[in-house]
Amino acid sequence: MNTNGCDWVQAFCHRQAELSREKQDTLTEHLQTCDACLDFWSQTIDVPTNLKVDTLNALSLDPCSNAQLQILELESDQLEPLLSEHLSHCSACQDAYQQMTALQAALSELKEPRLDELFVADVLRKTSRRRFSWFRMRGVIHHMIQRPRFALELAYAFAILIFSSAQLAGIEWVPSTGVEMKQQQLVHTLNESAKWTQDLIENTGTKSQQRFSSAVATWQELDPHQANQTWWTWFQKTLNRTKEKKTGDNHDRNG
Amino acid sequence: MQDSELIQRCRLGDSLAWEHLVEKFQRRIFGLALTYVHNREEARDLAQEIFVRVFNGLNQFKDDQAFVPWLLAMGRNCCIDRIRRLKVRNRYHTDMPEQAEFADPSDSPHDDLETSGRNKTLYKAIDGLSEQSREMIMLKDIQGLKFREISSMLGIPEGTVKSRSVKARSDLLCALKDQGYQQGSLT
Repeated sequence: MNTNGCDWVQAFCHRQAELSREKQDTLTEHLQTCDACLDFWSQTIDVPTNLKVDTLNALSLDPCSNAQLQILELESDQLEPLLSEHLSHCSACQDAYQQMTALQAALSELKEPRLDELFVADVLRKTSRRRFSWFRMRGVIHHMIQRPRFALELAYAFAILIFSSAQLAGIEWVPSTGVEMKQQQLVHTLNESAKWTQDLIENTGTKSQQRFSSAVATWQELDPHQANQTWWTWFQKTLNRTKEKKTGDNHDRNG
Repeated sequence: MQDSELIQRCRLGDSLAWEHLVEKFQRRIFGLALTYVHNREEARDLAQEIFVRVFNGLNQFKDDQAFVPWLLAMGRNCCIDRIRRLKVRNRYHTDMPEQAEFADPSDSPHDDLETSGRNKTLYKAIDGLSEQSREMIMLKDIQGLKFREISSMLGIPEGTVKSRSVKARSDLLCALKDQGYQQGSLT
């Protein structure tokens, strides 16, 4: 049974096999001949206590060995009745028990050794670089899913931000067709007002000059990039036309 | 504040919650690192690395699981990675001092610690254990994890964890006795 017995003990200890009453005798026989299995069996806590005690008794292990094995398995201060009873009249096992509890207490003190105060600051510095990355973005998305109104608020805020930035950068958001239409109307008005254009050139009509300046300013305001060039072209043409007309008039007068 | 609430707030980018979380677990993570690398400065650096890794991995944390075992598992993986890197580095740079597993207690980092002689004795005894026993002492007796938590962390049956834990305690007691440990010196 030796090799198979070892496998079987391992399987039982890992709760992969059941131990019936008749098999217990076979197990005891195997444990008497195999130290490795005896060691493994003794240290396995999964085995029901009564079964373990029976087996250990059958193996004629002395109560102190049994108690010391149980001491090694201690989980908390709660002692099993059998162990407690043994400890009450065995000073050697009592010492072993105190030794184990002292060891456990000392080990638990190693859990949190002292650390300098700058540690947290160092960690925060290292992690703050990543704070606005994907991790934060994920948090925002998560928040948006949880609260749809927040998404709308965010979209509104973004829109205002974009429009404000565009205004600051000088980008016109008025539709271009409207500007062109207004410019055409203005050109038409200026072309039609030959009288006050002529007054301007002859520098005689102050009122016309004011009206003209106002019109040009409006034009420039509408489209500052193109207005000057277009206005200048128009002005040159108007000037030439006026000069020709004046020259023609003079010729007529002289002729 | 509960850990789950802290994590939730950390996920939403709350820097104060993250600070609180680091403050709460800093010493524990440092203790974990110290049992793996035997140098105080190295352990401090490693603990910071663990927190950075935790910060980046908070999204992977599931709300239905316990935070401390998850944190310690992440810390353990980070420590193992660091030790592996140190071993590789030491292999190629033979002039560097051996720092990995069993540091000489005389120039051990624990001397730098303002710990009592008892702690030094304990660290020295733990250093002398096998890797398996050392890990079991660290997870079970120092960090106080449950068998079930250790079992899922290491991926081994719970019965095996219990057996290993008993063996580790037994080995540790033997190691302490070998170092001249006497009854009552731990108390």
